[in-house]
Amino acid sequence: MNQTGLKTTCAYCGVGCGVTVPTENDRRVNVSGDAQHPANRGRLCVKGTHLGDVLPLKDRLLVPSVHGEPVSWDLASQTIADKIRQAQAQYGANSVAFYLSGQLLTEDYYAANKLAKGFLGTANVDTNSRLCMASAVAAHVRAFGEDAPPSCYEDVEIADLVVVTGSNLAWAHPVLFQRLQAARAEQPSKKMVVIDPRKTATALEADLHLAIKPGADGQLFNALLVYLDKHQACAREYIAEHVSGYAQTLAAATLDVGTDSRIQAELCGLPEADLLAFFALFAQTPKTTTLWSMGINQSESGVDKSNAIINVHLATGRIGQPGASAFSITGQPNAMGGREVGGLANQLAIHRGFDADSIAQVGAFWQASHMAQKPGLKAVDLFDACLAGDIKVLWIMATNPVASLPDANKIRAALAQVETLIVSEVVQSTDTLDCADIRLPALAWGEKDGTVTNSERTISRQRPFLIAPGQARADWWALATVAKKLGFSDAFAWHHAHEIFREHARLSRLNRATALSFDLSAVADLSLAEYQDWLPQQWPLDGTTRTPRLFGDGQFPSHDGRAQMVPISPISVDQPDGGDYILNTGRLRDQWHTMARTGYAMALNQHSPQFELHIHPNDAEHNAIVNGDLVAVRSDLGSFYALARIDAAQQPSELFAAMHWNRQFASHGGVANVIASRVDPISGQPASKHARVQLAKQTSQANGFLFIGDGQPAPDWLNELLWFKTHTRQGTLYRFFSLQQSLADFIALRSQDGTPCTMSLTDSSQQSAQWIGQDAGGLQFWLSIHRAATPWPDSLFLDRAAEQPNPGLSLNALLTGQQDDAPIRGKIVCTCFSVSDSQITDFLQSHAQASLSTLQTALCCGTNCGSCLTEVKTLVKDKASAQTASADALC
Amino acid sequence: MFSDLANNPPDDTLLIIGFGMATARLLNRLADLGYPGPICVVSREKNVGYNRIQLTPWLANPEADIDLNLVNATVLARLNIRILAQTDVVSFSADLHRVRLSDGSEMPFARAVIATGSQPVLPECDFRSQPAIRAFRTLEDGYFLRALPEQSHVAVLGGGLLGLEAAWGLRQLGHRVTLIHRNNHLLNRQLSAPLAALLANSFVKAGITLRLKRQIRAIDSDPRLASITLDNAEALPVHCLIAAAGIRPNIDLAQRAGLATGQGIQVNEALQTSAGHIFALGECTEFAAQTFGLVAPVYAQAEVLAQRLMGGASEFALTQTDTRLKISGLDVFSTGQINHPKAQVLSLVDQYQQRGRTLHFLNHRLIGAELLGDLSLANYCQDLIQTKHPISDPRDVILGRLQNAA
Repeated sequence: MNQTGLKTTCAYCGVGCGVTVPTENDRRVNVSGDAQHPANRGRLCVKGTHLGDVLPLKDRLLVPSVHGEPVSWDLASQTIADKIRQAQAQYGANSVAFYLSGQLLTEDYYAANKLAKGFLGTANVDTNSRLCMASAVAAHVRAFGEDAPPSCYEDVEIADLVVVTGSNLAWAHPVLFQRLQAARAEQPSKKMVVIDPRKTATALEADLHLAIKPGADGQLFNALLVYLDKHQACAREYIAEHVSGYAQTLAAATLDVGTDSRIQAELCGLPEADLLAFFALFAQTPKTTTLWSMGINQSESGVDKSNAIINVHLATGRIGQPGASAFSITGQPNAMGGREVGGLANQLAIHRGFDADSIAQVGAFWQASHMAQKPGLKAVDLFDACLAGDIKVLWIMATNPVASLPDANKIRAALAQVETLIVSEVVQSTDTLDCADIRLPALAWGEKDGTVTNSERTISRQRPFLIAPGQARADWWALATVAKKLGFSDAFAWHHAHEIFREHARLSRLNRATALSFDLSAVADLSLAEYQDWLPQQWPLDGTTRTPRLFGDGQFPSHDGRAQMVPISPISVDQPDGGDYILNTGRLRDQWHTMARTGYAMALNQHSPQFELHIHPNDAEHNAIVNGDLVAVRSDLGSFYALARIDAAQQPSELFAAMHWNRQFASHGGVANVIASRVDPISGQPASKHARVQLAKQTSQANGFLFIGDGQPAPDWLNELLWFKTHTRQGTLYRFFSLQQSLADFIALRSQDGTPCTMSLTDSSQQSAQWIGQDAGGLQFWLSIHRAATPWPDSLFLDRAAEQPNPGLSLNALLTGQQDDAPIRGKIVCTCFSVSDSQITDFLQSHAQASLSTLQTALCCGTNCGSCLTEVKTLVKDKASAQTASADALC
Repeated sequence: MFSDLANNPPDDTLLIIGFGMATARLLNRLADLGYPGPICVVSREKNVGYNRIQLTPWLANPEADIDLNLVNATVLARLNIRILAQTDVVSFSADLHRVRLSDGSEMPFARAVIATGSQPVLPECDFRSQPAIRAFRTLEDGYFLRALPEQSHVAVLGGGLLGLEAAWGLRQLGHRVTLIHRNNHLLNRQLSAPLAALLANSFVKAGITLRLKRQIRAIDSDPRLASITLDNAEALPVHCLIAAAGIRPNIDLAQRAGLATGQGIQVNEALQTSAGHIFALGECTEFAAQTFGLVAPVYAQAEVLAQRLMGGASEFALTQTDTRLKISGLDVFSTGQINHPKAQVLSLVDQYQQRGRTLHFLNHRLIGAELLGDLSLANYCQDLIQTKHPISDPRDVILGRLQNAA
């Protein structure tokens, strides 16, 4: 900690950027990028830039409770210990389970894993990382013998070709994308190929975009292998020395896709020329790095697809070389850390599995009283076991499976079967917490103290700079407290996260006798002061020469030291037919997971405030859907509602919706309702990217908006409606629809709710009505309901009215929710400077010769975090091509 | 009955019976126009020609110097006028152009104006023996109310303009006031429910108890007024009951004279009764099946009648009746049709700033407007109604968008 402030690590994605916090114990702090951190070198994306916005204590969970009754930690932990003891006595060790999260710090993860697998004798410990990169983990193990990603971020800068597949890198891992873009800008010969069914922000920047048929990635990489072999582009020598399985793999690939590039292109739904262009580029470019993420992993053949990617890199010897590697980019801040300690049910600890030696060695180190003997249940199976009544006590920490696992209705039913559901959370309500019997207040970012590991194996500190609010406590502390109540005082006698870190590092020393690369033994005796001053470091930390990459020497941590190419024949996935659609899911630029944190940041809610379903224009026309229409998406399992967004970047018959919405933000939940819990048979990772659904336009009787200032309760009548919710700075904005009730019914309902209303506009023809509540403090609520389409209010305006004692606003403004004569703001593109698309297009209209830089000089858009640059550039490009077109028309 | 008719041919006296606000206005106009002939005004009241409308502020502010006189000496001096106060007309012969007065004398006239006004509708009881049960119509009523002991409990019957004014004035004097109204909202002739509710709030806030949709079932006044019982059996102990539940035109004299009457004395557009030389003016009249309780049409009548008496051809016609006044510190404006069953009604209520607008639209035209607390749209709405201006979005009108644009 130097004069420039306290250094910590961002709470969001797996890039793991360093963050500098200027002052301590300030919940209104502005954070900046840590210029010394190797992951970001000072850069931050829009979510990271607004980390300070999620610090206020609005809706924080601050006291433990049992069945809704606030209790002391002592009573809560005693109750948990009693329930665990009872369940295990009556139903056996495996009746107790833990479901953890890539949001946890390594120390928290370690404590949970040690308690379960070493002292409770249950390996039913899984984590939401199962939803994120379990397929890549399994592929790593199959190919390398260990879940050890061989690459580092520098590779994307060094590479001459970067292949991005199954990843909207620009939005999901923005800082890594910016590093790639900066390198490309410096050296324009560098190429980027993006493989994605959608024309994403990443695809817009590609030299070549392959809009692949959903699910055909395995075929594509099989075809690439066939091509590489046919064109003698494989590294024969490297294969001979370091790689097994080449012939079988090639044979399987040939069987899968044949050798005819025309047929291969058809299988992938791509123009043959594009396919061949990609293959040629790949073959010719030694420094090729392939990045992949959830688009590959969240599939019924996610492991095979990951191996298909690794196969072509092994076949070309491009593993662990500078700029040449196969690189799985993890979604979460500590997905990697969780894997290190054994957070997945099929892992024991320190990259060890459940072989007798490992069980014995780890058990001895822990002085474990009851070691788990075999792998536990993976996420989907775990919740199926809950549904079957086999799990009696389940402790969920820092994750929201009802919203994030497929088939939300099933998960909710499963949780209802668990006798004692314990949930550790930072907010008062999530879809999962709402099911809990015991609620434990956890620490949030800025309060937590420990370490995280990012996608390139760099361990960084998350440091606390805020005083823990209320009764919120560290997750490891909660686990250790319960462990002590269970009689395991000696094994859980930690006083500080540092002691856990050191114990974990000492445990990893066991790997010295193995070929495994995970080893932290060099820091096993780290002092507290050294832990506090920890600088970001990549593992392995075995005390020998550091290397940013693994396996560059061709030595792999497998039984014979060789890498394994894996023959794969990916199963083909559902294709749309008979009027059905294929739903794809993914992330938004400015939101994170189930929005329990980013959902509270006003700035982050501006970019995509609505829950939208992206529909190809032809499909929209076919269903008579226009922008903003309420639409229902249904599968056999359930349905969700969203607002239509007609989007030419979609393929016909394919729909897209963001995965963030759940019942906290949408009355009827989100995409999890319709996705089947089909999993990859090896990794157990659900196929969340792919659901066959029906689409239907919904006709509402009435629709409207409700703004409620902070501290005001939501009215009961909302329960009768269909709504979407956004947090604003001073309150909450609901967009609602009434499918059954007419506006008259609604008005009657509303008149009964007793909310003191100080202003109203009613219309006997019942086309619309508005109500407003104001007190001396400002606007308390604003309610506007219409029979026809309703104009959006300006939430910034409502926020201002909510915080001004006497807003002094015109009637018009108060009743329309917009400033008088305010131009329509449009969609916010640049969150940092709050610049909308209409502002940008207006500027471009009035400045015919404007370039990106003149635009940026004028409006600042994209000059801070740069997350919006792709969108800004697209607007400039669209304007330029429109001008060319009109110039052509004039000629 | 009348003596010596043949010997006393009708002289040229203009006889005016009653000296209320209508007569006061008529005299002012006649003075302006230089009416030459003799005028005799006969009035039952001691005080003549005072401004009833100012009775409320006069009542509420005993210290304020409020001039209630509508006719001053200068005006009267310009006329050839005789005023007989505290005098009643005992009998009236239209044919014989003659009246007999309560002092026993007879008076001939050429033309007569009946301006006997109206009387309040009082509850059914022997109110004549109960000074504590009375209307709020006369200066005498005003003096009585001013003299009430402090913190008297007063019930006011009627939630129209007069009742609201009385209740407000009495509350300002510190009395405990209960306002009883048979309709389910106050001021139901001028306002529809939303703004009436807003107005009601200001009364409740001022400490006035409201009993809406209630009537008086019984009055315990033996020997003195002690309590009243409402139709829901609620008993209210009261010291005083003010009846402001409407008026009844005073038509007894006209009936006795054999003139045509309905609710009031029927007049034509020249304000002539069924006898051509007898005119009627003000609250005692009925024109086109309507009676009158507001000052504006009465003053319009006075103007027409003054012209007629001067030999002119002016005609009285019903015009849109606007109400524009202040009650309980709130400006109230009402114009046009506010109870058309097919109208689209938009209502804006702002309790925070004590203001409201209710607008009535039919076939894309504004037909009626109610404004409370903020009359900034009053003239604009009047224009829209009179010009039948087509309106595409009623919200533009009620939010004042078009007005702002104009």
